[in-house]
Amino acid sequence: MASALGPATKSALISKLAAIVGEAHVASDAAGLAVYEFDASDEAIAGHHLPLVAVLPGSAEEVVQVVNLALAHDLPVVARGAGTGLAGGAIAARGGILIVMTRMTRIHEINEIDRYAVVEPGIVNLDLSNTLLQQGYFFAPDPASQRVCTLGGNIANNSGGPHCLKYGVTSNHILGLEVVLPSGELTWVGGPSGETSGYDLTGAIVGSEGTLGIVTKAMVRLTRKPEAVAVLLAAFPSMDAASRAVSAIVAAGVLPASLEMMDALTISAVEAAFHCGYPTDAAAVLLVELDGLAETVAEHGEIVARKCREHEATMVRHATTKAEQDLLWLGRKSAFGTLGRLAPNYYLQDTVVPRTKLPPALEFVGQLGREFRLEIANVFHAGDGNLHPLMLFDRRERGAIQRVLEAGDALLEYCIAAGGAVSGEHGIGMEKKDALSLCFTTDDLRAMAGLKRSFDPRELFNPEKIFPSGFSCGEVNQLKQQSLMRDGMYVV
Amino acid sequence: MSFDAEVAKVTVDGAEIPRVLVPETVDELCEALSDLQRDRQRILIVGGGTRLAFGNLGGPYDVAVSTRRLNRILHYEPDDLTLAVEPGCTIAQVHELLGQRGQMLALDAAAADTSTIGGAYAAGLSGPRRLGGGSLKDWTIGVEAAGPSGVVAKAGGMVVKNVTGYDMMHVHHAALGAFGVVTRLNLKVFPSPGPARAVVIQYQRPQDAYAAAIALLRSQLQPSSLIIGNRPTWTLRVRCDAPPSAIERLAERVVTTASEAAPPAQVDILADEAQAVAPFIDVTDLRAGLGVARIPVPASQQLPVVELLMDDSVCADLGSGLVYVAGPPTFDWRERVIATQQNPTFLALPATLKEGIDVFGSVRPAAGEVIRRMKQAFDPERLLNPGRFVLHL
Ligand SMILES: Cc1cc2nc3c(=O)[nH]c(=O)nc-3n(C[C@H](O)[C@H](O)[C@H](O)COP(=O)(O)OP(=O)(O)OC[C@H]3O[C@@H](n4cnc5c(N)ncnc54)[C@H](O)[C@@H]3O)c2cc1C
Ligand SMILES: Cc1cc2nc3c(=O)[nH]c(=O)nc-3n(C[C@H](O)[C@H](O)[C@H](O)COP(=O)(O)OP(=O)(O)OC[C@H]3O[C@@H](n4cnc5c(N)ncnc54)[C@H](O)[C@@H]3O)c2cc1C
Repeated sequence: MASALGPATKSALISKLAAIVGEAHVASDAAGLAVYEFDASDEAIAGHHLPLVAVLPGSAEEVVQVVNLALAHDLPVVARGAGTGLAGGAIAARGGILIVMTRMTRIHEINEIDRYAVVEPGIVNLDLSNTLLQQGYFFAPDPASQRVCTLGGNIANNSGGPHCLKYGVTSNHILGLEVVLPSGELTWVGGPSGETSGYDLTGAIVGSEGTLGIVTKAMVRLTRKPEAVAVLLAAFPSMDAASRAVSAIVAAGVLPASLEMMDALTISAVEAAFHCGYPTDAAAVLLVELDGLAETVAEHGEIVARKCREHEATMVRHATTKAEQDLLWLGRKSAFGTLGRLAPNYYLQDTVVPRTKLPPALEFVGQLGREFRLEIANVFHAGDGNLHPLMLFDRRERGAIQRVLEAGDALLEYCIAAGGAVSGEHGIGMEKKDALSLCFTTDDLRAMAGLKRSFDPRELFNPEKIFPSGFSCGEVNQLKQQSLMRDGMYVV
Repeated sequence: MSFDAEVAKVTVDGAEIPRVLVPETVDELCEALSDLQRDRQRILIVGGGTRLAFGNLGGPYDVAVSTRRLNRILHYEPDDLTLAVEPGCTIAQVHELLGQRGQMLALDAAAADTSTIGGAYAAGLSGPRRLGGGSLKDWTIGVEAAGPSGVVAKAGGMVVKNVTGYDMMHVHHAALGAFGVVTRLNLKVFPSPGPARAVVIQYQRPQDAYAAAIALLRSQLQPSSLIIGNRPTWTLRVRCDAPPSAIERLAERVVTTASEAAPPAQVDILADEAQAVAPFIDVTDLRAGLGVARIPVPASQQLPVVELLMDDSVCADLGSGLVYVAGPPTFDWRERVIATQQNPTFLALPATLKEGIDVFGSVRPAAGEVIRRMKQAFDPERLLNPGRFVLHL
């Protein structure tokens, strides 16, 4: 166990780390480490775990040295970005060395012709996009937390965002990575071409929540700014009508850049804070963005408006100016923050269903609220079928968090039965690792464990994440064992 | 298990495989795998058999296992834009199904009637439309694969956004069957964007074709694909997709942007969209008995590489950062391609020329070690496509 290091060894370790990253960039006392006890998940999920020591390296070479020191001491390493993760991914669950990537924010190269940029993982998502926008490009994944979260966190969680409907998730925008592998070696995987020679490990590493490697540079895909953008706001008398409109829009052959839904509770919270112009008498609104060639956008705008009206929309508004469009988006992107003000605590469940199953799934969320006596706000990526019910509660009230977690579990089970998944974009981390067995068999998990072992046979990279408690990746040399057993049987 | 006259013979790298199994169901496949494993039989996995030239000199194989009859559509929900198929579905079968509902996958297949979707995914070969619409790598939202013991493991699901567990979709993609036999693919599909045009622009000099192509790449015109071929003359081919109201003007804007960058010798706007990728299909036809290589070079650096290869048929895919070249299957040709120093992958070579090289090019040592351990984890006895994959795994 990590914290079992004796005091002398610990202080020697800290001096060595200080020699690598500089004394100012090491935290090892209680006060310095306190900020790393949690991420944005609830403490009921994250528990109470502190790393032995936290370091803030300034370069890939420093990360390599830190990792090698950890390996020499048999200590776990956990990478951390901004700590906005909602699943406990950046928590040092078994202590060890926390490697905080936020000092590594350089942009090394922007190549407009080949449409990639090489950047360090500590860069904040929005800073990257804003820099690229000046040259007419953007980085498509845009989580609602983009003002704060880091590219490294986006890569590790394969994060999504409102614009994933058309552009895909983070994985679709990462061309290559420089990573420190659990062997302590630094290597590049992938590259600027659509198909690399050899075999490309990039796709396996993206979304692996820091369990297969620590990203020290990323080659990200640049997307060209479209020539035209339209934003539409449609108001509906019920969530059901709004979600049927979502399916109708997609069925009509329109693939909007984004298709987001907000319910009445969200609308009123956002309106009170920002006055974005959302209709406060609506039960639900859809925020639809279309982009592309001017003609396409115009034509699709008409189809979207028509489909909304066919599904009982009481109002459809085109935001024509950039300022008007930005205001509508401000409301959406700030929704979680404003909802957070409605109650002392909130729990955000992230789950996903096939989009045609949205109407019954939303109905089920409503039922959960009544059954578990919870106020639930819905603001989510409707086009992707990605639900985000936000359950408001007060931790001081006895049994409140229990009710919340039970409601969350019930929803997960419902969504999986409806053909959905455990997490659409927030990751598994500590929060959902036990839920993994709801949708995967032991055989499925064994195959994943085979991948883990191939990268990290010592299981020192972000331990206690993703795999269900009690499931050991190490002992699953199953395939080999099975065949040996069989051979044995044949000898008999 | 059936006998299928068409697949009665499987030949790879000049050697005929003595036995071919054609399971009718995934259960049958798994049973067969389990039996074969017991007898330590080495297996060549075969789909349509159109791309067997691709891969290191492997084997010897005791048996071929064909996915031909595993060709059922398992699930298609147009309103969810999702599709699940067995691996033996042909590309043509998938196109036809989606086409009936105004949907599509941007796959350009030579021999679409024979090529299977499982083979395309396992070989990891995609076409120029990656620029506008991505590739199977991006569209695969779920995968199931059987290991050598016949145990199926799944990952992902039927939803378009999913971070539940590791992304095995990217593990089996382009793994050439080294980690398992793919038994099911779940895909996200797309609404058809409307009519397409092939804009074909001829130039006298390659640098002019490149100047025009790069101007288009930087424009907001969103071409779906952008390639340059050298036969019979330097020709820039652009595919445009747009709704009926926009398509003509889009094609004209493409011509204008290209012409402003470099005045062309001739311009044609064709309704036959296949013309947009014709040289790609020609150059990458692995059945022609030529040597074929794929060289990863980003668009901005392609010109000098293309000039080195001018004597061969070249298709430069600017949108994907790849240069394809087909030439005589000789030692000299192979060395000429290697001399570009761009770490090429050879997609087709005669068996004698595969000797002594890794057709996948070189792999960085640290990554290579991980790949070796993956093979050890998924196929420890090396029964599946033995020797064919990267590093002769
Ligand atoms: C208000 C709010 C809104 C949100 N909206 C969205 C949304 O719309 N879409 C969405 O997908 N998520 C959303 N999130 C979740 C979260 O912001 C994302 O998961 C984000 O990508 C995490 O980034 P981070 O820098 O905060 O990572 P952290 O929380 O610090 O870490 C997350 C994971 O990444 C790993 N990691 C971090 N850096 C590296 C690295 N360099 N190399 C390897 N592993 C690394 C960590 O070990 C951990 O497992 C939201 C969160 C909040 C609080
Ligand atoms: C350069 C190039 C570009 C191409 N671009 C495109 C494109 O854009 N769009 C397109 O549709 N097609 C494209 N193709 C064709 C596409 O690659 C073929 O359709 C496909 O690879 C071969 O299909 P097949 O069924 O004939 O495969 P086969 O030749 O039978 O098999 C190919 C390889 O995959 C393995 N394999 C086959 N099935 C499985 C399985 N179920 N599980 C595990 N391994 C398996 C085999 O062992 C073999 O090594 C391209 C081909 C080339 C060479």
